Amino acid sequence: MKIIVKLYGVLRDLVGREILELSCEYDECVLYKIFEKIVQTYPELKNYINVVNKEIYVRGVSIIINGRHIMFYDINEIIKEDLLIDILPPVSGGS
Amino acid sequence: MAEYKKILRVDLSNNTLEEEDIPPNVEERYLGGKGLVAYYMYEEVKPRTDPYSPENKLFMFNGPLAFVYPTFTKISIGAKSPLTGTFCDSYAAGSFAVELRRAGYTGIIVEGKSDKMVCLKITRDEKRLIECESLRGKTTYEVGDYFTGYSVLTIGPGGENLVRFAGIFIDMRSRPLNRPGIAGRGGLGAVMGSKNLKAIIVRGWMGLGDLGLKIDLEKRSQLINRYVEVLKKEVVPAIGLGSNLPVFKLSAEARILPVKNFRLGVHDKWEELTEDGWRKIFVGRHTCPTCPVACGVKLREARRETAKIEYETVAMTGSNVLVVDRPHVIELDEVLNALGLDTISAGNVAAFATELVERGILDYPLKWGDVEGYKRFYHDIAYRRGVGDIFAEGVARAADHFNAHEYAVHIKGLEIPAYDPRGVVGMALAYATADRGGDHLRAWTVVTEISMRPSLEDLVKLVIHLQNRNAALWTLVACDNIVGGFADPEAGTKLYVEMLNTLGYDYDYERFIRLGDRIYNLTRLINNMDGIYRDRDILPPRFHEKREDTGWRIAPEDFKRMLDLYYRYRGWDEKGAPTERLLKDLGILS
Repeated sequence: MKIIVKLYGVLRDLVGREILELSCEYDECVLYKIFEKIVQTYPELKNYINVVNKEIYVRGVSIIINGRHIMFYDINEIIKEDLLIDILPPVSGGS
Repeated sequence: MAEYKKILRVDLSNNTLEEEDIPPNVEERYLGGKGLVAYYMYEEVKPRTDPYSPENKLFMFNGPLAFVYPTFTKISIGAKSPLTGTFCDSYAAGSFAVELRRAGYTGIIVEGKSDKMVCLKITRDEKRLIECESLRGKTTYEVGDYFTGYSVLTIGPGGENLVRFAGIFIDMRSRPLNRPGIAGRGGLGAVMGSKNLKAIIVRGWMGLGDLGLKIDLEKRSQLINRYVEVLKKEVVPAIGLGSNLPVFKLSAEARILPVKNFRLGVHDKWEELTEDGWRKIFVGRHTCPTCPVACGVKLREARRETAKIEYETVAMTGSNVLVVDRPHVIELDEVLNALGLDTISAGNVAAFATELVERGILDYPLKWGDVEGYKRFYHDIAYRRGVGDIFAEGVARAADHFNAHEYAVHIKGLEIPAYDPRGVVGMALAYATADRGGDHLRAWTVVTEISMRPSLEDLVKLVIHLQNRNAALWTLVACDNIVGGFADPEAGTKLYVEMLNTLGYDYDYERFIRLGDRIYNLTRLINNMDGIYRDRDILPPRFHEKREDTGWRIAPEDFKRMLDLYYRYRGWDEKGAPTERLLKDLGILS
């Protein structure tokens, strides 16, 4: 499966790129493994995303996968379609 | 000497003013601020009361820490909202809460309706209604300039003309003496207008020693020192330039900035409206009395200036309608401030109207970025001229009129603020379950410093915790700008609990959060009694659609999962009502 990751704001600045391209095959195409791969390939993102014991942890960022927030997905389910992953940077404050 | 903590009850129909005490068991359960607003509304305003009738009441309460500790300068103002028909509380900074405390009052309750336009005057020598027909039609600035030497709480022409999103404005002056405050949301200015009450002016006279407090002064001094250190090290850096303007860049970069009525998440001129852009035209700061943070900014460019602007205004009346240069954003902000209208609702309504024009549904001279058009539009709304009369009813009723609900972005009638929840999905639940309608302040879910699994369960628990915590904080009445700047919000809240206990209260953190839980369930009960149940805890159609630029959406089945879990964790039934057992456990019902 093709995986396109789009980074925004400070995350784009950290990695130095807006678009990351990865791929996965067969049983690698499980969300927590995909994010392990993303963080291994781009360790600059470790401050914001971590995978521990097959659980994905985020620090302030919002992750949207094919237009739908990650929390609505089963992160252990095998993905069978190409993915567009948007990783939004931290937002705080506001009134 | 008993502590000065009275309520001033003002009957406009009979021209009477009376003082009363807060019963001890009420104070014990509801404390101050939002708690007392909710309690008295539950007790005194019947369900389904017409918000414009004399039977609706306006409740204004400060909190026990006002004037005793720095920064507790906000007043909680509440009534049945003419925009939503729900419980509505809104918060305004400025000098009013402190001056009211210095006049010996915890609160004011306004009931009935005057035959003529009046103002309420509270000084050491006078507590009475004064005739104010000469102020009819005056802007908020003109009223502030008229009453020198007072804290001034007023409405503008929008409130007088019962625009459903008219606000209540504090200390607006052509040359402000301190940071002004605006209780913008929910149309409380129209409630005041419906009563023919133009303004309340207060000049307090008491010092701390006159209030009759039983307070541990030494502990107070230590806590103030600790608090000031936290403000200096954490809050001031977090606030940056001030007025929440730093948020603009973050929203734009996260693509959650409302643009063209929430059809897009950013526009190509966004950098002009970031903190760096505003810094170029910064001319000074101001602050609320007793607050050292000074988060208010004064800005000037191309002969336009303002001393009262916030992120929401820049986003909603600027970016959302493609007004993207600073002088014009300031110009429209000042128009809305003078007219006395809520900028979040106004910007939302303006974007809705512009989309209707674009789609050929509305015949009105308006297009995206049309500054003169928006000025005309806002004046038409404030004076209810032509189609302005329709849009003065708010976006939900206007959508009824044009049969155009698919383009109206509101929840329960309250227009959505400047964060697109298709990018920050927790805000969808926060908006939908906010007690006053589509509101972002009950629970601000995007917490940067917490490391958490992006799990539905954790997010729902976070929304509930924030709603409870903030309801408790608004009994004090704490300032959101400060709480939002704490590096450790729990530690900050615990510091506030320590402050409370120097006054003889006996709170710990859990009991304080439970106070908020009680209040939030009480406001839900009030809303249930007004017919608000699950069928109103819904998102606008636009948020279920794929956004034009990114394809982000919130699927109805995903939202249902969030809401089901929310009700379960809250202990509400499947209709969205707190159970009787829960209400008894919380001490709401006996």
